[in-house]
Amino acid sequence: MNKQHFLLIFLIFTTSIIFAKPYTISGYITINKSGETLINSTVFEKKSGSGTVSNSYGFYSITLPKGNVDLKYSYVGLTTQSHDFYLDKDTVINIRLSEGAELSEVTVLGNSKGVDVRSSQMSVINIPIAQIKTVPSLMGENDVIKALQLLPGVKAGVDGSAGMYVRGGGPDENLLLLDGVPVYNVNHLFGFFSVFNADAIKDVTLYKGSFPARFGDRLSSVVDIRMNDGDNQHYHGNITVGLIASKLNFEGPLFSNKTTFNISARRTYADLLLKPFISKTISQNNGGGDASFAYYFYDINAKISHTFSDKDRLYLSAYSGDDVITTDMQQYAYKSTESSSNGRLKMGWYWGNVLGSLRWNHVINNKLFMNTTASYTRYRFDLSMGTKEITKFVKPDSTVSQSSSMAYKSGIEDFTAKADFDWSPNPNHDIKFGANCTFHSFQPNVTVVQDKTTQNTTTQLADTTIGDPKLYSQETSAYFEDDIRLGSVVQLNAGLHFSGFLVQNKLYTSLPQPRVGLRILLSDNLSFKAGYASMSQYVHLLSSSNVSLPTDLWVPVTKRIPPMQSNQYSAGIFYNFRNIVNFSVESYYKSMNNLIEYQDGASFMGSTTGWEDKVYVGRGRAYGIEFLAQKTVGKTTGWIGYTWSKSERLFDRPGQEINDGLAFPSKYDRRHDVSLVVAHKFSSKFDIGATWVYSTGNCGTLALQNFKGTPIDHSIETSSYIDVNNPAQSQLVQTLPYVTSRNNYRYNPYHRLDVSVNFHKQLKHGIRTWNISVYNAYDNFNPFITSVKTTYIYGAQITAKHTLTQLSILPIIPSVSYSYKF
Amino acid sequence: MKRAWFSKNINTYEHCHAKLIPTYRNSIQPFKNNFVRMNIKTYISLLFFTVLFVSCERDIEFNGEITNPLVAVNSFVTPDSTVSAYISLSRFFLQDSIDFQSIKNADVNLWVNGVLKEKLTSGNNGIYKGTYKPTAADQIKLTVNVPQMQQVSATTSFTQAPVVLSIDTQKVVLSKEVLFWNLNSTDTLCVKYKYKVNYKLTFKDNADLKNYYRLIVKYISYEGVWNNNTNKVDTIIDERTTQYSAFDFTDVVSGNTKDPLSDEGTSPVGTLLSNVENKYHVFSDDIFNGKTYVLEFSTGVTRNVRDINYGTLTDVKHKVYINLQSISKDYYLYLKTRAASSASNFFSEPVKVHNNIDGGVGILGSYTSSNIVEFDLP
Repeated sequence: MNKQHFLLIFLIFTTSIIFAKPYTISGYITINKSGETLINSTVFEKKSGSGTVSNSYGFYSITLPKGNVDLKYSYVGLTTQSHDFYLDKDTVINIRLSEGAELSEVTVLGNSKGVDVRSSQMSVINIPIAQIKTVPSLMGENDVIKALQLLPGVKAGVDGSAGMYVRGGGPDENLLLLDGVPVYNVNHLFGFFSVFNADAIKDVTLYKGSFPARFGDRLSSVVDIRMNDGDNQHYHGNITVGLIASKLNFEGPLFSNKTTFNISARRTYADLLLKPFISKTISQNNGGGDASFAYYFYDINAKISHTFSDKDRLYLSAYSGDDVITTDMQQYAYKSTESSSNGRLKMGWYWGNVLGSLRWNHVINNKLFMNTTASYTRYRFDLSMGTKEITKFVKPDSTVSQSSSMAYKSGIEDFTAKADFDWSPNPNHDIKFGANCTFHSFQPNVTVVQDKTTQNTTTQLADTTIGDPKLYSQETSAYFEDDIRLGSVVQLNAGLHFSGFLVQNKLYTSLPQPRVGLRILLSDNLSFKAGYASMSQYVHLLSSSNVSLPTDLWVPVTKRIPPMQSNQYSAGIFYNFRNIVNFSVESYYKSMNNLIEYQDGASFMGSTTGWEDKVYVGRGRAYGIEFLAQKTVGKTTGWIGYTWSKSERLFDRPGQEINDGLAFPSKYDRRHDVSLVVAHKFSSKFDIGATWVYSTGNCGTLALQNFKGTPIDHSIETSSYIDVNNPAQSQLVQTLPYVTSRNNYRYNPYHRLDVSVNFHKQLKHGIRTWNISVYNAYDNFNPFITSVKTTYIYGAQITAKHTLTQLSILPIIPSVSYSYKF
Repeated sequence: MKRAWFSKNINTYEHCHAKLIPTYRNSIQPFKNNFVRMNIKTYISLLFFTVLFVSCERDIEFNGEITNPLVAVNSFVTPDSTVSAYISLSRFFLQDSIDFQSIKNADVNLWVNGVLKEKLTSGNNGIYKGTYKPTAADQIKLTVNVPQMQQVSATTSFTQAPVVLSIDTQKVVLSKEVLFWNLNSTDTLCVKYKYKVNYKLTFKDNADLKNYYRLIVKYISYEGVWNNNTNKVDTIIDERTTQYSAFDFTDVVSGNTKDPLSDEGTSPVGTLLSNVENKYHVFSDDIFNGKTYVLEFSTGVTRNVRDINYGTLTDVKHKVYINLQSISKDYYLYLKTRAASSASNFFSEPVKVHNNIDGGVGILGSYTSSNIVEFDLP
C-alpha cells in the first residue's frame, strides 16, 4: 500500500468525521428473560438507512443526525422492537428483546431485513447456538465444529473428523477463539468430538474471507465462539445423559443480579461402564495377567460476569479439558523354586487445553467502548510410560527391582494482553482499533528417561533428559478498521492489520495487511459485496496424518521457514426474500505463499527435531463459488449449501520441488460439496432435524504401476521381501511404486444422512427432552482410508492378489439421550 | 544345545558404576521386547483402532484408468567397471502377480559422450552386460528398445571421487552381559559385549559442483571355533559374517537425527522415538560446499565371546570397511525416495520414487568411490 492510498483513506475518514453533527444512541442489547447479552443483534434506522450490530459484549452505539428516528432492534428468534422518537441529544437505550408474544409496549415487526444484505461484511456466517443444537450429531453430542462443516466453503477432513479446511486452506489455518482466547487443540477423541460443549456456548461466528482488520494470525478462517454469561434473574440448569457422555449446565445470579455465573461440565463414561469388559479382553490377550485400559475426556467451562454499572463490566472465563488414556498391565509373572519374578507396565497419556481470560468492558463515553483482556491459553501433551520388574531370589535371599520410565512432554503456552476499542464518531463511521501482545512459549518435545535398579539396599539411578529446549517468541499486532457509509447505497469496511513476530532473535514484520469490504445496496433486499484480505501466519501445526492426533505439534516460524501469507479476493450477491430466506452467492480466489508440505515420505510423529529438514516451502491457490440459502425463522429452519471449489499447491522452488515442481491438488480438493440442514418444529412437544451431505471424494496418491527396483549394493534391504521358498528370487523382488503425480486419484464420494427426533414434555420444574438420533441413517460405507491390500496365495507357484480396499469407520449409529432443563 | 540361562547385566554407562545385577530374562524376553520395541507410530495406530467402536473394510472398484506397463531400467555405473542394466516391465498395481516380467529381447545400447559404444548383451533374467569400462570423464547414455514399446533412455555422468583424508574412531562399551548356565553356576556360557563406535571421517568437498554422497560402512566379523577340550580357539573362519551397518548419523548433514539412545535397546524411549529414515546413508554438501568436512557417525556392534548356545563359535575380531561414494543427483534422489517409500506406516501414502528414465521408469545412477579404508576394530 503506497502513500497515496493512505492519504485517500485518511481523507475519507477525517472529512466525514469533521463535518458531521451527530447524536449518539448507545446501550446494551440483552434477552429479556435472562439478561444474557446478545451478539450481532441488528440495530437499523429506517429513515436514514443506517445500521449497526451489537458487539461481542452486546454493546451498540449508533450515531445519527438530529431529527426523527425510527430504530429497530432485532435478533434471530426474538421479537423485533421498534423505537420511534425525536433525537436531539445523546441517548442511552438498553434493549431487552423477548421471545414470542410477550411484548406489550413495543411493536412486533418480525425479523428485520437480513443482516447479510446490509452489512459490509461478507464471507461471514453467524449460527445461533439454538440452531446448532437442532443439527443431528454423532452419538447425540451437539458439536459446533461439525455444524460449521456443513456450511459452504468449509470442508471436513476424513469421516468423523473435526478437522476444518476452509476455502482450500489447511487445518492449522483456522483461528478458533473461545471468548477471544485461541484454542490450540479443538479435538477430543482424535477429532470425533470437539472441545466446545454446546451447553456453554451462546454464539458462533465463522469468518472465512474478507476478514475485518481486528483479526489476524491465521490464513483461512476465524471462528469466534462466545460463552454464555449466565442468567441474572433466575437459576437455570440442564442435565443431559447420553450414551457417550453426560453433561451438566448451571447458571444464575450470584449474590445479586449484577453478578452472574455459568458453569458447564461434560465427561464421557465409557471407561467406567466398560471397565470390566475391557480389562477382561486385554487380560485374555495378555496371557491371563491382570490388565486395565481406560479412556475418557472431560471439559469444564466456567464464566463469571459482574456489572459494576452501565459503564463497567468484568468477565472471568475459564476452560479446562483433557483426554486421558491409561493402561496398567502385568507383563509377565514367573515363579520357580529358586525365584519369583513379575513385571508390570503402566502408561498414561494426557492431553488438553486450559484457558483463562479476564476482560474489562468500559464505556468511555457513548461513542467509545473499550475492552481490555488478559488471557492465558495452554495446550499440553504428556505421555508417561514405565516398566517395573521385581525379582525375589530364594538363595541367597535377595530382591532386585528394576524400573525404567520415560516421560514425554510437548505443548504451547500463550500469555496475551490486548485492548480493543469501538468508536462511533458519527452516523457514517464505526471504527474499531486495538493492539495485542502475545508471549508464546513452545515446548516442542522433551523426553525424560529414568532407569532405576535396586538390589536390597543398593540403588543405582540413571537419569537422562533429551529434547529440544523451550522456544520463546513474542507476537505483537495492531489494527484499525472503519465501517464507512458513503450514502445509503455504498458501505465500506476498510482497515489495516500490522503484526510482528520475534523468534530466535529474528523479527518478522508483515507489511500492513490491508482489509477491504465493500457493499453496494442494489435494492432493499439485494446487495453486491466485494472483499479483499491479506493475512499472515506465524505458527505451523506439524501433523502426522489426516486424523487429529495429540502428538500434533505447534511450532513457530523459524529463521529458515518464513511466515505464511495469503491474499483473498471475494465477491458476491446477497438477497433477502421476504424476511424469510437469505440467499447468497459468493466467489473467492485465494493465493497462499510460504505454505509447508512434507517431503515425499517424510513424516512427523511427536518429534520436532529436524522438522525444518522434512518440509518444503511452496505456494498454493484456491478458488470457488458458494451458494447458500438460509432460513432462520419460522417452524422450519435450516439451510442448503453448495460449493464448487478447487485447491492446488505448487512447490517449485529450486531444491524444494514436490511433484517435479508441477501443480498438484491439495489433500481436500473436492469439486462439489452439498449440505442440506433442516429442522422442523411440529409443536412444543415434538420436533425433528435432518442433515444430508454429499461431497466429491477426497484426493489421494495411488501408484498405478509398480516396478522392480533391484537391491542396492552394500545396504540392508529390509522392505517388501516376500517370504517365498526361493531365497534368490525373494532377494531380487523389490516392488517400488510408480507415482505419476501427488494426489492423482479421487476416492469414492461421501454422502450421509443424519436424523434426530426430540420429544419434549413440560414437567413440574422444567422440561424433559428425549433425543433419538441416527447417524449415517442409510448406513453408507464412506471412505476413511483407501489402500491396496495384497493377499499371497501359496501353491506350487506363489501368486498374489491385489485389491483396492476401503476402510469405513462410522456405519449407522443410533443413539439416545435424555435431558432435563430447569 | 539349548538350555535355560541366566544373565548378569553389567551396565557401563558413562555415569554409572559397574554393578552386577542378576535378573530373569528368559521366557518373558520376547513379549517384553515386542512391546517396548513398538514405536510411537504403532502405539498411536493401536490406540486409534482401540477407540474406534466399529470399522469395516471392503473391497472397492477401481474407477480410474488402467494404465499400460512401462519399461523399467535399473542400472548403476561406476568408472572402470563394465556397464550392466536390468530391464523389466512395470505392472498395473491391481495385477495379480508378485514378480515382474523381465525383458530378454530388448536392444540396450550404451552411448558414451554421444557416440554409440556398444550393444549390451542379454543374459539371464533381463540382465544386460557390456564390455566397455567407462572412464570418470565419460557421459553415459543408455537407450532401451523393447518390441512394441516406446524407446526409453537415460543419461548420467560421473562426479569426482571423494578423498578420505582421515578416520578417527572411539569405542565405547555400552554393556557387558555375562550368561551363565544357571543362577548358582559360575560356568560362563558367553560374554556379550555391546559397543558403540563413534567415527570422525574427514574429507574434502569439491567447491565447483553440487555434490551428493553415500557412505558405506561394512563390518566383517571373524569367528573362531572354540575347542572345549583345549579351551582355545582352534580355527578362524574368514569373513564368517559380513554386515552392512545400519548406523546412525550423528551429523547434521544427514537430515537424520536419530535419537542416540535408541541404540541402547532396553530404554523405552529409544525405541519409541527412533526415526530411521536415511536407510542408504546419503547426504549432500549443502552446508559444507567446498570445505574440508568432518563427518560424524556411530555404529552399534555386538560381540559374543564363547557362545555355546549358538554352536561353538566365538568372535575373534571385527574388521571395518569404509567407502565414501560421490553419487549423481538422480541416484541420490532415487535412494532418498526409495528409502522413504519403504518406510511407510499406517497413515502414509505411496511415495513418488525418483525416476530419470525418459519414457519409462527406473534409475540410471552413477557413482565414484573414495579410497577404501579398512582397519581392525580395536
